[in-house]
Amino acid sequence: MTHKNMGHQIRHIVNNVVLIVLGALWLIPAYALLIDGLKTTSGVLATPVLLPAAFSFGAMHIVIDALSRPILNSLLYVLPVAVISTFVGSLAAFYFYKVTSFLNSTIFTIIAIATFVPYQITLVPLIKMVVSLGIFNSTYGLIFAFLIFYLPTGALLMSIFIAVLPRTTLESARVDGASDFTVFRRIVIPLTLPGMISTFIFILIETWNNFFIPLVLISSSSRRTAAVALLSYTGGYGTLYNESFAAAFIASLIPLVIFILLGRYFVRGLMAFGSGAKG
Amino acid sequence: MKRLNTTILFSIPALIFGGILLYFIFWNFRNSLMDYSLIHSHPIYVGLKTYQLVFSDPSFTSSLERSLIWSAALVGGGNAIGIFIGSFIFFLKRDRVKTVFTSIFIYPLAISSAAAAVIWTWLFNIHSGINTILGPLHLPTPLWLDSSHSAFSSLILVSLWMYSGISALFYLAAFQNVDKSLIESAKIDSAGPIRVLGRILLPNAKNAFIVSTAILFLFALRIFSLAYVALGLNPYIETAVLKMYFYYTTEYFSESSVASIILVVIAIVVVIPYALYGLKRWMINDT
Repeated sequence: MTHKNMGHQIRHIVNNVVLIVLGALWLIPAYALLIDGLKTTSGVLATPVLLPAAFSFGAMHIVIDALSRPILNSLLYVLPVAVISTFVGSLAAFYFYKVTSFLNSTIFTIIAIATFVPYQITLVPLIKMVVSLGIFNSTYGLIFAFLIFYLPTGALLMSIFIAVLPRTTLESARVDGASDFTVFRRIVIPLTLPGMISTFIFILIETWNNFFIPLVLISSSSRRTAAVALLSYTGGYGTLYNESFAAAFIASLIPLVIFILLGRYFVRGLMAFGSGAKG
Repeated sequence: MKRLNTTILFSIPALIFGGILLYFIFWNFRNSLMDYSLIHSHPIYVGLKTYQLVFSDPSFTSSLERSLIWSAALVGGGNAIGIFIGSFIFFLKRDRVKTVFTSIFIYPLAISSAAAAVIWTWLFNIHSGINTILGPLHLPTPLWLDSSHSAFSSLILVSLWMYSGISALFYLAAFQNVDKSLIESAKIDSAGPIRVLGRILLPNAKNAFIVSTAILFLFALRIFSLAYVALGLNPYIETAVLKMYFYYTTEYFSESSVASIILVVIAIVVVIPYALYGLKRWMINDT
């Protein structure tokens, strides 16, 4: 019996050790992000990337000056996209939940599958459309483009969260003569609020981190987004790595803070994204 | 009836944007049958000629091949790492420790591929990156991004770092859905964790496999920023998406459309088993 207990103990320790080693490997980039953005120029010249050195906020200051505008630019399109996609997506999900027919299911399934197709393939028609609407190289153009991909995604994710609502609750509200919008506002929103937060945060992080769409739709450097602005900080010859890491850190700060504070909502969004081609 | 009419308004914005998305795919399809470039600014119908042209272009076929190799590596590696990490986390005892480890393996998803590319180009720097640790430990010190042989596999490693966590998450979720009494009774029969994993957990994780395979494949197909930010338009690393971007930036619109349609076809083939799984789930929910 004691022999068996010892076996359990050892197994438990091995399990932890394996995870700690793997976790440490996974955290190397995060560690580099933290220590290297804070190195001095002499520290950069004297130490390799993985060794700590004396720290200063010099590189951070330079990078914050350079990236504050791109970060503001990012916020200006990311927030509207996430809010509209979640809210309007929820409305659509509610409709598809309520009115089920063969036609509706088919339409919804086709659009759902389309959202999984690599978005880069829409490059040429997307640019043609954005140019013809006169919103090329503008925040409106970015918002419009992202809504094409993320409004259906919002509807898809919300349909997964709405699908678990008991139909009887909605039926009884309808018997009381409440309008559909009232049912949506009074019942659907409160009951699916965690799902809405998850959808919002998932879309927020995805759009913030998107590089491709702003790369092709924005041409002037004053309108560059945070992810695109990072392009000038890749490690070419002559660049100092403290600025590269500081830039990656500053540009990732908002999604990382959201992840640390509200990670479980992001995870739920990821799971929903994974678990349903059709709600 | 009146009620139905007002509710349909709820779906219209989503249908409009979803419709635009479908129109883009259709546009590419139509355009892929045309001859359309900066020189031929008036598209004319040429049938499948552009497809022939694109498939006989070695730089395209090798880009497509690299996309598929990348997909296979990410699907195979990501599932393997996902099962490994997922089961180790599953056998942990305390829930808070489970959450902490899950977050550690998921956090790369919150970092943009552009930022990941910036970080990893420095970690792969042969003079100041991870080689400064590997060297003194007498471990192999590859040239990473500095050699055309290892650059591609180095970026595959980065994509595994980025996306394996999501696979682990799906497997962990599947394992946690397995009936606890099954695991307990196996433990009474003194089955070790490996037998519990092989006999009980994995056979019940088929859905996790379908979902994580589809997601990893789709992530691999759309990889653009990681390769582009790390190495630019590089003939040794170019994936199908990068090639499509290259065609576009050099004004071969029809070629770009052909590349797009090929990607759409691959993506749809990949999504089918997963969509069927989703549909089945939805129909069960519905009744």
